[in-house]
Amino acid sequence: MKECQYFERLISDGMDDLLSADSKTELVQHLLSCEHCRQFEETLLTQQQLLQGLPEPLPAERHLTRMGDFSIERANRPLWKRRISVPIPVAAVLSIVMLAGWLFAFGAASFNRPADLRRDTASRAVEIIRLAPRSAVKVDKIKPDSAESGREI
Amino acid sequence: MEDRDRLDWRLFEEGDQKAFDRIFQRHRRHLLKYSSYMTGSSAVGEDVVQETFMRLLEQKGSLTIRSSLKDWLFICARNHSLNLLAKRRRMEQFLPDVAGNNDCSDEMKWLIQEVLGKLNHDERDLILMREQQQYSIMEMATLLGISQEAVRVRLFRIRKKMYELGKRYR
Repeated sequence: MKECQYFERLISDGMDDLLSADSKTELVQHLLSCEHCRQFEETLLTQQQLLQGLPEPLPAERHLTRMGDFSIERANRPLWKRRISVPIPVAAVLSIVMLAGWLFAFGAASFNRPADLRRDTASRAVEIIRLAPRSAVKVDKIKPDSAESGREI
Repeated sequence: MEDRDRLDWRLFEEGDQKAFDRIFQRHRRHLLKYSSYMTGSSAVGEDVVQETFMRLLEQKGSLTIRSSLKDWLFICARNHSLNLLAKRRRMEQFLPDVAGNNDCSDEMKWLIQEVLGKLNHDERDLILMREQQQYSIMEMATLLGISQEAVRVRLFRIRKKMYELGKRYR
């Protein structure tokens, strides 16, 4: 059987046309006397034939229809349906510029608020701070010190 | 074929759209056959072929053909098939549905597809390259970047495995 392993290798090499004349003779002589190796060679040759004759996976027409002239189709695609690719550094710079613009616009808007509105916000903040310790003790007993402090906060 | 490929590719780069179609017609069939049997699905095989030609289109103006366009296309389809199989390995097993699209009533043809399905990706790739795509040992060694001896040994192991698998179905 060890001898057969050597000849099995020769059979495989023979299928790839890699055998020398001497090896071919040696193999033929062995095959005459070895049933196992004859069967091995026969099976391998059958499998080789089957692999070489594997059927077409799909009818050509169907595939051609699907593939079509896809390059032309892609070129004729409307502009809004085309895929746009932007390199990562360009996208990063654009994002930073947009963020900076947004922050600038937002900051400017807050700075440009009317003066009385800003004052009102400040006075309400002072009132909250003044009321905070009392409300922490007991919310019911809060007595407004002035008419203005009675406002609902 | 290689000369015609080079000529058609040059014409395509110069703006001849029909030259690309000729390349497509020339190579579509063998790529589809390989990728369908490699992935075990004719639908996936179609996708692989489509992706391969899309990549070729993208190479317009920048492709350098070292050996042949046929080899470039084959390696591209092969890599894409192997990538798909690597992703799919975690999800499902290889289920050959290629025969479903054909008149494959012959028991032997069914058997060989079953055996193909039992091989792992690398084994299936190698045996299809040799037997279906008819690459020589030397060409395979060059394309795969391994020695001819390594290709011989691997092919022998695969054939032996196929022999053993075939015995189980008898």
